[in-house]
Amino acid sequence: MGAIEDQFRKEIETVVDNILDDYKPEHIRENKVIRDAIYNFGLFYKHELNIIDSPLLQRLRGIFQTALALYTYPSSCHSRFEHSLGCVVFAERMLTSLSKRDVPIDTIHYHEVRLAALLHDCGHGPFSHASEEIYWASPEIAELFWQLKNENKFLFGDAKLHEILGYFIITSKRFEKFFKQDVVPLYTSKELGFELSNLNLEHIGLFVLGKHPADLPAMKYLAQIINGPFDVDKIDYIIRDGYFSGLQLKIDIETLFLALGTTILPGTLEKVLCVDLSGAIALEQLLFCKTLLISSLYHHQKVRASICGLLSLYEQLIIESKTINGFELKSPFDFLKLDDYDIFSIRDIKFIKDIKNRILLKRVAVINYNSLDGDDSKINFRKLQENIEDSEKSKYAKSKIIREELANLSHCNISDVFIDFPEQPTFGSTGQESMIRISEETYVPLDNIHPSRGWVSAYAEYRYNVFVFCKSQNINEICKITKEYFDKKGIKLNKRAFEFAKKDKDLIRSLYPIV
Amino acid sequence: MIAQSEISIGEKILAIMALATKEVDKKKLSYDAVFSAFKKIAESNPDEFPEIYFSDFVGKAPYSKKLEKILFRLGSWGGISIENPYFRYLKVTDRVFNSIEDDILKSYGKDTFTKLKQLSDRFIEEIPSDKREN
Repeated sequence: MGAIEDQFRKEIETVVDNILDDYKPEHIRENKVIRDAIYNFGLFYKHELNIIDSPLLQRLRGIFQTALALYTYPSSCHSRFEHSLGCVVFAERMLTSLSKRDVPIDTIHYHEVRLAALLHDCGHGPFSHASEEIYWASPEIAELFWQLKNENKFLFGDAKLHEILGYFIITSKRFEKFFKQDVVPLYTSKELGFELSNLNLEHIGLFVLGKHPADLPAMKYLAQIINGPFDVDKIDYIIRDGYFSGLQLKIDIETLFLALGTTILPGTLEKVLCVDLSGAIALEQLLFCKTLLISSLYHHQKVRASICGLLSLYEQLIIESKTINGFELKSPFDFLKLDDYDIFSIRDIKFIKDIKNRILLKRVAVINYNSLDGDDSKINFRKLQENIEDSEKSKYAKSKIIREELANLSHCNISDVFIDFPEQPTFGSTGQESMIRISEETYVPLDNIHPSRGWVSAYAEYRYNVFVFCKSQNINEICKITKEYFDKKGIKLNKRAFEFAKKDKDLIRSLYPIV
Repeated sequence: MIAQSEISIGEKILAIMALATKEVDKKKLSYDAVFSAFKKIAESNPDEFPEIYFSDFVGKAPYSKKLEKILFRLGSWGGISIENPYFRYLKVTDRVFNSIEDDILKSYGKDTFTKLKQLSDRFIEEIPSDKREN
């Protein structure tokens, strides 16, 4: 174990101890059925109910799945909690389909997958993925994660930060103590039908990272159910986020489950998920719905503006050394003690008052392929973005330099101006790693029968936007300064940049006078 | 122009693909072969490609989230495009293809150019001739 991993393991112990506090699970007499708008109803086992009732999972009730998107899509108020339950139900359906297709599933592995689905989001901080953007915005926290990723590239290299924290929570000694000493003794193996103490928490943690135990390659498909090319997380969040935001998305999920199977990759011992050709259409729907969700919801300008507002709030909290309910926000572990309501309860911060009154940052300019004039502007903007996005660790600091320059030129506060480069969507693993069964002997990646990267390419060229935001007070001045600022960098914004941002026609005429 | 002393990973990736396509005078490279070739040169030159990790999946082509994001961005601003047949090819756009050498020399200097040329030679060796198109 590396030094940074060791540091994570030590610090997570205190956090898990703090979260679980004095929670003592009690014996539950019967399994329970929980109803839900997405999966209708699902059965949860007694030991799972003890974990669901624990503060570790209950905290997720207070974390909105789509952060502040509810200020754009009012019904998007669903939480990480119901999403976690949904993942268990979809995992159950996948496992059931597999066993009907003669894939033998060991009872212990079956329960490990269900628990991994239940716990896969326990590492989320307030406002879901927005907290991950805050981690990268904090130099100390960013350095810590960056070192960890470099120290163990195989395990953490491509992992999302909440997945890393989730892995450390699940594999902590404190969680093991809770599980083995508080939950396991409540039930006999006769009562449950299996020996609960045989569940391996390391397996569960690895599944959350999309990994399988190195010496058990035949377990790879189990990890893929939790974190893979078409995992239960994607299935639930795409359907759930679409439903609660009111977007009309449809995925033929039953066909996907019916077509599910496993195969051993040639030349390896790895058993992976595969889908019959008849189920490929459902995978294509999954990918297509994801592109729609990104452009309509996750990258919606007001949703991005609210996330920039959260970053601004974080900057303010750090500058003013404020604590939230007694907690400082100095390490990623501090975030795990909080939920969205803790942030909303902070007093004397204008951003909180503003957000509650839906006073959000406004668009100054929308920069995309069509709002840049000529090849040179596109090349120079590409170089600028590549420089900013060179490393996750320095992205925020580099974009802050642009904000500082724009703020200085317009004589306003840096917290009043934002340039937002939304994270580029990734679809490749679904296309490249989803194996489609053509015949008993022939398996090909999804991309070979339906090259969905044509959609991705169209999305990159026509839908991907970089935003400049500011507070509404000085918007006309900042529009003018933004145009001049990029002009000096060899990046000519044409009037569409401001038309896309819905700026007033008189303002646009003043920026682009007819000669 | 934006003055930059150090080349970013994204620009490096674009330059390697552009120099490689010039070398063999084929403008289109198989998408899967590009991922496989970058995996090989990233593994033998880890300092040149920090933060690019490839999945352990042993399917048809290796996958890297960061590489996919870079290719997405390059596509957003007209650096590359996805081409037929079957959207399976990556093409460095004509503008980049025609100006890459001058651009690297002007923006990053001769030493960077020499290093990138070495990497692109190694890169194109990893792309089988039937995975290159015009």
